[in-house]
Amino acid sequence: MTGDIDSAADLAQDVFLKAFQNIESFRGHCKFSTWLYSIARNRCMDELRSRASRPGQTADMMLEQLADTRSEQVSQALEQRESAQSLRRLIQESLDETEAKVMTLHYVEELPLDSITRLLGLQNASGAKAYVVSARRKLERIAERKGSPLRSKESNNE
Amino acid sequence: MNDNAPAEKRVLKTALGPGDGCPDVGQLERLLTEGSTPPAALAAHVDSCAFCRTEVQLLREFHAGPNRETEAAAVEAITCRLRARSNGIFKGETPPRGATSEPWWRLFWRGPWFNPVALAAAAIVVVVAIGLQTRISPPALRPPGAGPEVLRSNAIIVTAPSGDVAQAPAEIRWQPAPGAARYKVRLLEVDGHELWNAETAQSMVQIPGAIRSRIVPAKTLLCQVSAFDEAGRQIAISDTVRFRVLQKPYQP
Repeated sequence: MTGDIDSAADLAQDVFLKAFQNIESFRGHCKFSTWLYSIARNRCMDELRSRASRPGQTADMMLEQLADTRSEQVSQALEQRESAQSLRRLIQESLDETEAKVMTLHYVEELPLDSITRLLGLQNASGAKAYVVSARRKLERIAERKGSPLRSKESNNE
Repeated sequence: MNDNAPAEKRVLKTALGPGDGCPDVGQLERLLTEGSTPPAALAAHVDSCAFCRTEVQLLREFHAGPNRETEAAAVEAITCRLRARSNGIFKGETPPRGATSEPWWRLFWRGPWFNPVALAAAAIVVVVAIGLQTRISPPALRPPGAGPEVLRSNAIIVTAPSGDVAQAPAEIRWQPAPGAARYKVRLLEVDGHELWNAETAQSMVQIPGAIRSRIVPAKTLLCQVSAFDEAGRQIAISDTVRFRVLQKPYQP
């Protein structure tokens, strides 16, 4: 997940330390391993998010550049015409399993793409980035099918 | 840079993020518990929620442990490092020069109050966690002379499939065990759920098409082979061998 043993060892130590300090909060409502997972998950996500805010996350920057000028139109069209619930349904219907997971980890958990690639064990050349690009194109097509806001905006610009 | 990205991120974060009806991780655990039937509403929600499905996958992989050779090696290396650090505590080593620039938890770890008793308690916690994760039933007591010894470690070596494979395997192969009259093969999910089993007298078995279609990319499966003699007694068993079909490269 972190991509190097040094930081993974530090994180593992940190997780066990937190577990040890908070052992009293384990009430037995779930398996101990699940409780330990929740600590490890939160700690690792925090670490990866903080890394993403540091300079040098070139893959994510490249992804931003990949987004064309239609991005605003996509978000506006989807936002205007769909409630959160129906937008969830559209995502569910249009994205495949891996795309949905990659998008969730990238946009909700805000993990950098290289971490997602390692986390999900993606073997393709460009890793998670390819799935984000693919998912966004699908969503753009949906926005285009919704049609009128985009076309009217474009025609207004002409 | 694209000025529109923040708006799009905000929309996607809302649509993909957890909703009011999303269960906590303790409830999601029920989907992975062998032998329990999760509530239909829970299963239906997870089916329709990308966030929860992602959470379930992360939880499943956490329970499954390292599933790649590189991960296994990394876990071993990390274990050694943590053990070395704890050894340093037992020996009362002083922090190296420049230690004040280290993170707080390193200093905490080296603190004089952090005594062997506390470390022993932490070790017990880890052992309990490992014990809870291990779903192997305790071995039954075996009276002396009750039959041939069941060889476990490497008595049967599953030769294929193993590790990452390019496509769903058509068959399972193993090295024959001396004295074996028949073999039982089990295909398991990582949570222990049995996907398929078969019996054969040969050292290979074909995987039916219906089962192959359920071996999807990125899903780790386990395989185990048991050998039985003429009298039907189990004489050997393989380790559980992990394999996984690789994700197909993205084709725009």
